[in-house]
Amino acid sequence: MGQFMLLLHDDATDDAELSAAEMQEIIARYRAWSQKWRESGHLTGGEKLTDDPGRIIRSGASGQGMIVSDGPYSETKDVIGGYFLIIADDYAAAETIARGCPHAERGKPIEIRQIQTMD
Amino acid sequence: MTGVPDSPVEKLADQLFRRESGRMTAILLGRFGPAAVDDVEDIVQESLLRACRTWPWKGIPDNPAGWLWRVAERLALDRLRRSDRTGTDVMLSEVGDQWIPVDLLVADEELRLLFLCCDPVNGPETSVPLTLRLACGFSTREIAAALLLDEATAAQRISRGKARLRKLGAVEVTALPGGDVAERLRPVLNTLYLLFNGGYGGNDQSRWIREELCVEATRLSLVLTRNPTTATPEVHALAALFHLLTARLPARQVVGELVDLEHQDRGLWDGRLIGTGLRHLGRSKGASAPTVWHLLAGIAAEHALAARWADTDWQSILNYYDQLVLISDDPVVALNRSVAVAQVSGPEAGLSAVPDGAALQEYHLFHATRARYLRDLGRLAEADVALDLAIHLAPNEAVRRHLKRQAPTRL
Repeated sequence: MGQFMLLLHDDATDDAELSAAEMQEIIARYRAWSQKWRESGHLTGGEKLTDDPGRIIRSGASGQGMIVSDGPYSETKDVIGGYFLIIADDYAAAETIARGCPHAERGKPIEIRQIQTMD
Repeated sequence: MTGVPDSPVEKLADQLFRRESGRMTAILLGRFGPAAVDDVEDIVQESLLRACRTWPWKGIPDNPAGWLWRVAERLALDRLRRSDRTGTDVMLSEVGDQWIPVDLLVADEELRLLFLCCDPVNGPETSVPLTLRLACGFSTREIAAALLLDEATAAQRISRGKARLRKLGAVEVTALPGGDVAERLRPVLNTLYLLFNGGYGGNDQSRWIREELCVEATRLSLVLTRNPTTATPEVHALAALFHLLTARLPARQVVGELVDLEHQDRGLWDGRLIGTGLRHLGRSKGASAPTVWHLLAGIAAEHALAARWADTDWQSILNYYDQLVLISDDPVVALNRSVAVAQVSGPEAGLSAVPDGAALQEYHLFHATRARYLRDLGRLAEADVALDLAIHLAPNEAVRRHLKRQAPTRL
């Protein structure tokens, strides 16, 4: 049993042409998915990240101190749009949950990472 | 397991995004004027999109429409500030700060949008797609699919409609239509009827029921019935007709097969929609003379009230048809009347009541109806010929299969 993070890679421009009914349908599918796994105790949390590229901070050349720039995604449309936290037996079980997520069903990538425990 | 409701009545209640898309478009157009139609569409789309990208995480807010409205308000104000700064967009900067939507305002603005979309200058080939776009939030692709157009044609008609809209001065839409309301309503009602029929008709090449069109037309008819200015007897009659016909949709298509009225499982008819339809029919009284919608709704109500096909009050239906043919020159109406005639006076009379002339020669139901009377009269060879013609002219496979099941001598 472990804790996993589902990182939802997203390209916001994909959604620009969706119709009103399609958007409502997408929300309904997310609701069904999250309700199912929340009730079963597998889905424990999640947050949406804003669609801007964010910031990245790294140390510059010697003597320059820290440099802050636009986030790692400024050059690409692909961003981490949000994440879900789930509890699953192993990667295979986590995959099963992620596979049914409307995000994946719509052809968008989900990165699955296990959270390191202390022991 | 998608959580998306299936029955027409649930769809009526659940078209939140389409409804709010239409409402936000209506209010913003009222504020910024028809010339700002592109800006308005952007704001509405962006508001819905933010919901689509946020609600999956945060859950659906308690007041979804209010949530959408707050976003739209913020986006509109952003745009105002931007246009003030650049000075390029005079139209937006003229708006005052008192534009925050008030519920009471919504109904008027929705109405005004309908009148704008259905302005007679547009003609139905533009007004139907424009209504679907602005009042119902359909994408170009959805409009093309619903109206059986290719996407380029649909896009062209929408942009033509929007171009006309931009030219309309704000002055012309600041007040609800005055003067003869019935006169001003006519193109609106015709547009809604075309919209509805497009979904219900069953005469199209691919899908023969497009329920979403029926649902949207019904919803928009209710926008008219809710406003005292436009809640005329005629409008209630149209709303009654839409509800009564939509109620039958669950029985009309069973596992992909067309089921005619006679063979429908009436237990599948939606009792709530029938009830609403009958209430509107009650409120449709008081017209100086019954309109086409009154008579069609009256016929639909007779069917709705008959527990079985055998219980149908054909004499009443024939009375409606007799009035209908006096005010409608639609040959299909005359053809449908012949069905009532046949039920009242037998197949010989039905056959004589079939309208002749060239208008219906290409219409599959003209031949199918004749085939039925001929079969009932025992003239099986002639019935076969007529049915073959009907099958040949059938607009799609579902209808063709349906007709083949009626072959009199080849069962």
